[in-house]
Amino acid sequence: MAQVILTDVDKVYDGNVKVVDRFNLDIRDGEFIVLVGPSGCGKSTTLRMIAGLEDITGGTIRIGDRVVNNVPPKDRDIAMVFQSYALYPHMTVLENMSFGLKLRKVPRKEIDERVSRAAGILGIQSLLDRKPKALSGGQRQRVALGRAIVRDPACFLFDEPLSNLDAKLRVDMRAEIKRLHVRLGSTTVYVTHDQEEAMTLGDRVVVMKDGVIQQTATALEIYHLPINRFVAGFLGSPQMNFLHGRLVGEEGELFFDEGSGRLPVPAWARAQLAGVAGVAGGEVVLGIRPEALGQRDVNGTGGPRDTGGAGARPGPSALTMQVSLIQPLGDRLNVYLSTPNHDSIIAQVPADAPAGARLRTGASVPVYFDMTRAHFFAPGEAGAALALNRERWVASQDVGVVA
Amino acid sequence: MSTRRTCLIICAATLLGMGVLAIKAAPVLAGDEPGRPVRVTYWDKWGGAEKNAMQAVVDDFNSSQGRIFVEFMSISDIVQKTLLATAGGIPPDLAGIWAANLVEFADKGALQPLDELARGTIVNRDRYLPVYWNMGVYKDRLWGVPSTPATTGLYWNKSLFRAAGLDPERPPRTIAELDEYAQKLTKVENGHIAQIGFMPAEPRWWPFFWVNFFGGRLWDGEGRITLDDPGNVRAFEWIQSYPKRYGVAALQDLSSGFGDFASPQDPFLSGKLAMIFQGVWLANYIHQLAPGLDFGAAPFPALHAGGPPVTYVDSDMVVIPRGAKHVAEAFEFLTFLSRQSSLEKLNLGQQKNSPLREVSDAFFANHKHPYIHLFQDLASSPGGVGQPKMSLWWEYRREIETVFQRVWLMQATPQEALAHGNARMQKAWDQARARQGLPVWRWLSVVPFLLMGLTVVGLVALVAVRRVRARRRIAAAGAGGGATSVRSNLSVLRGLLFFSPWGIGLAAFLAYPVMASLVYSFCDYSVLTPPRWVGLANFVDLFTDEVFWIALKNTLLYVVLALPLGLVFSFFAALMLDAGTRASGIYRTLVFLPSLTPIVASAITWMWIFNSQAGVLNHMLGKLTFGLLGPVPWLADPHTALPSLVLMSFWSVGQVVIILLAAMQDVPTALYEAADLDGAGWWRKVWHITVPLTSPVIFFNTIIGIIGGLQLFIQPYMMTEGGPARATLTYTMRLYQNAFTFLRMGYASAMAWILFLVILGLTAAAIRVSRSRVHYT
Repeated sequence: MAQVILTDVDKVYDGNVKVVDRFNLDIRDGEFIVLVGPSGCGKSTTLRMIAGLEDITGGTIRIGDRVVNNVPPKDRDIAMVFQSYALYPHMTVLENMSFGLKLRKVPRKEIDERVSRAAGILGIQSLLDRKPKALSGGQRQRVALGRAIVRDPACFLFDEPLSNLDAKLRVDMRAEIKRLHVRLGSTTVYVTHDQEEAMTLGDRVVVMKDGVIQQTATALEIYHLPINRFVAGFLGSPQMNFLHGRLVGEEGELFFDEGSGRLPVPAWARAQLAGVAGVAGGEVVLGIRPEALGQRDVNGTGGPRDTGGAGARPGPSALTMQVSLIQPLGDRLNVYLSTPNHDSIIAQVPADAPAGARLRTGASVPVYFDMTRAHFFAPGEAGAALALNRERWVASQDVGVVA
Repeated sequence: MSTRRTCLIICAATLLGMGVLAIKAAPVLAGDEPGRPVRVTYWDKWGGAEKNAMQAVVDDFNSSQGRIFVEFMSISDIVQKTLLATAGGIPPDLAGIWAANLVEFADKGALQPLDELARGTIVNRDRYLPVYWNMGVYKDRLWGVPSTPATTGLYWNKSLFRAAGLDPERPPRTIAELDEYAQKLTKVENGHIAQIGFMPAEPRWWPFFWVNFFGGRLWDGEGRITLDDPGNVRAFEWIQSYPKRYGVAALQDLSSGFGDFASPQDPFLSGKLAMIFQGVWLANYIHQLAPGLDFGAAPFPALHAGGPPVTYVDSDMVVIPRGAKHVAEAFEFLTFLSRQSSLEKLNLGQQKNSPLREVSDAFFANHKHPYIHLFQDLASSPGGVGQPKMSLWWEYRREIETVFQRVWLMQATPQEALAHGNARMQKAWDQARARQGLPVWRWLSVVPFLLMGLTVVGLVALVAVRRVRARRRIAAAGAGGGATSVRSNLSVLRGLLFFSPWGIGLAAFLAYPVMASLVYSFCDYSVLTPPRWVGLANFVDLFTDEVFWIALKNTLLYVVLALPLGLVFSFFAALMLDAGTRASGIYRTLVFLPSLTPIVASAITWMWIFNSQAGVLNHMLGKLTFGLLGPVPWLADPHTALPSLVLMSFWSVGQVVIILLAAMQDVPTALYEAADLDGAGWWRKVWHITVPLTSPVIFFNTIIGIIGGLQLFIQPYMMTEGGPARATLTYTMRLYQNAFTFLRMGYASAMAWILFLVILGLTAAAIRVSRSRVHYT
């Protein structure tokens, strides 16, 4: 096993298309790192540069204690699992797994041992004589994993290995890969565009956009303390709601004015927002995750006297919204809401609300914001976080749970 | 009901259309319309000035009267086309064939005898020179009338004589003198013959004729082939004295640089050959292509001093094919053509001598040939000899050509080669004579139709049985069958109607020929006469025919060499194109372009490429080896001729390359990347990934290559005529010779069926071998 260090790695195509820009990452020995981001963000290119399948334009890549910039792929001591599995269709599973070892002139006996061990780990002993076309998608993925394992490499590279599988199999294989990592303790770089995969697999997650690392941290930290609006929007499903508004000062209080109503800015955020253009009057984007919206006031700032009544007046931490769609998800509902200024605000609420509080499409209802979980970003698609509730994050780390 | 009406309308429209076509075509076929002149069709072989000369005579005839209009057409492959048209019952009214074909035509009943028509007309033996008149006479009957005759003699280049210190006005008079002069006129420069005095291999047209200068003879006039006659042996010993003196390789080198006759590169016209045995027509070509050439003409030297001159004579003969529609009118034109004025006009136009005994002063005065008197005298002399009048002559002639090549290439002594050829021809002749005694079974011609009918009946029965079964099933299921039945009858009718254009084509152009060739493979059949049943004799003869085995061996050798080499070459070419450089589109086009060239054009191009003196291949080889490697006589040497064709086959690999390239581009890149990580180098990636993943396409090309290779025809036909010494005689060429040159259709059919079985067997073997090696993903 080995650490992998990327320093100022650049990749430029055709002279001017920069797909990876000053990529710096220190992957610890045995760490499972996930590169995540939308299509075209450069995550696969980065992985392929580590593998040696793409030349790097600038910077250095170290695997273990070697700079491997000019080392051919076969000598980098890595193994890669491809999205398409890349199994040799004319070879049996056994031949597929042993091909690389044969080329490295590993003794026959050792090849057999290694293949047998890997097949045992993956439970594919009975498939060894089959050709790939006689295997299911999941079996093929296991064989691809097996081919990587037998090599006993310093580093495993996975390039969206689960994207060709159906949803259930994906979840199973995800667990399989994680268990394998725990068992082998190997340094792993895993590329995916699936944020759920990223969050469940990675010791650390690297979120990329346009070839640039946006944030590198643990999955939970990224979830709770996204460094910018892009990261905040990328992780979490349904994704975070963003409401454009202004900060308004009134009677010594600071409010977020959405246009159709105001929300009090919580105390933890006020200091952090102090720098926003004059604070009051400054444009900000309020980020709030669907699960932080609800029908009950959790802030203790007071609420409507009648939450279900037609004449209900929202309390300080609530806005009146119209229900446009309700999606039942079993124990929860995804409720699509809108205000005069914002469409498609999603709230995720328990499905077991009392009969009187049941939501109906078309109804106007007060929606409460859990302002301890609010985020404030600068305007723009990738606006930087202006205020993050770090205290809550630190506290939750001490407890070990984040509510 | 409307569907039925639609069907009826389509039927009616089809019938109407066919009727209109038939009405339009009728006059073309019949040629007659009341009140109009009778159209007499006349096919002849000439093009250019020679055609124009005959056209002028035809125009004279047409304008001389109003009852008959002769439509003169220039036709290539006149012999085959006339034969096929005659066999098909739609011959022209007149055809111009070579004298050498007349016997075979007459023997097979393809000609209309002219004796009765000629009685009392100017078409009679008294007016013609006997040597020409006799060419039209066979078994005491007149079958054709000479039109444009020829006589041959020795032409020499006076300038070269002067340069060699010889008297330019004194040609050699004996063969010994000819050889002596030839040596003096031969110039060797840098180890190569730059100019040669004389070559019995130039022109290659009459290798059978040399025996006449040495008192030899080709047959006894009855039933015995006399190719091993002592006079013939002497002639071929003289022929072999040339390669013995100058060396086979040197002569090959020299002659592969000769251009075609009737081109400025002709060896005599270009001054590479000082003396040549040629026909009266040569002067015309000298006049056109080498006007400055100072030449002389004389009788060809005799064996002994003072011996009577011997000259090869030939003539074009105008015949009336059997079944011609307007025999009387056609003969009226022949009578017109026989007039002295017509024949002199025609032969002046073609710059030949006259076939008539009486020649006008104007003919000589207007003739451009400075030696026309000589050639006219030679034609009148008793030494004029034509081609033997025997029905197997074309086959015999081919055999003599092979004997000549073997002797010329020093592959055999004259005695060996002649004895071998003699035995082969005697056997063939005995066989042919024996078969002539077999009864003619006219009904055999019907058998192919019967077989086709049986096949159709079988198919219909099959369909009917299936329909009855289907109906029973429907009845058993309790469905209402009546309406279904009417509908399905209608749909079958409609289906057949739409199928009919293709079906008629299939029956006429595929099913019938296939069935007919199967039947005829058990027959002796010459197209012109009804088939004679011979049982398995054709197959037995084939297996004992050495040329059959030579052709099969050549063909298999070609496939064994050209196919794997071509595939490997194509594979690597595709691999390079797959590398995807910036200009790969241009390279792809360049690789593919040659395969768009018509095969005849590329054959001619490659004849130049292979030309040992002027060819680019030898030029490049010389440069690459710094002159160490001398010119290779590519097509002239029996050892290199077939490999040359293999080399040429690479020219048209473009299509295979493109198909392979498409297959390679279909191989997922991830596999190569996986192999990169597995530690595979370039070669291992090719061997372990590209080859197996493109194996279905490689296999497809192998099968197509086997089938195509076994049918190789055009290249050897165009470039080598199967030579030298049968080194490039391929199976289909031999088949073609048997079918269309020797008119042995039964034998050729048997060959076709054997080829079919060979292809079937090889393909099956390839499929079997491929099972474990071809990977379908």
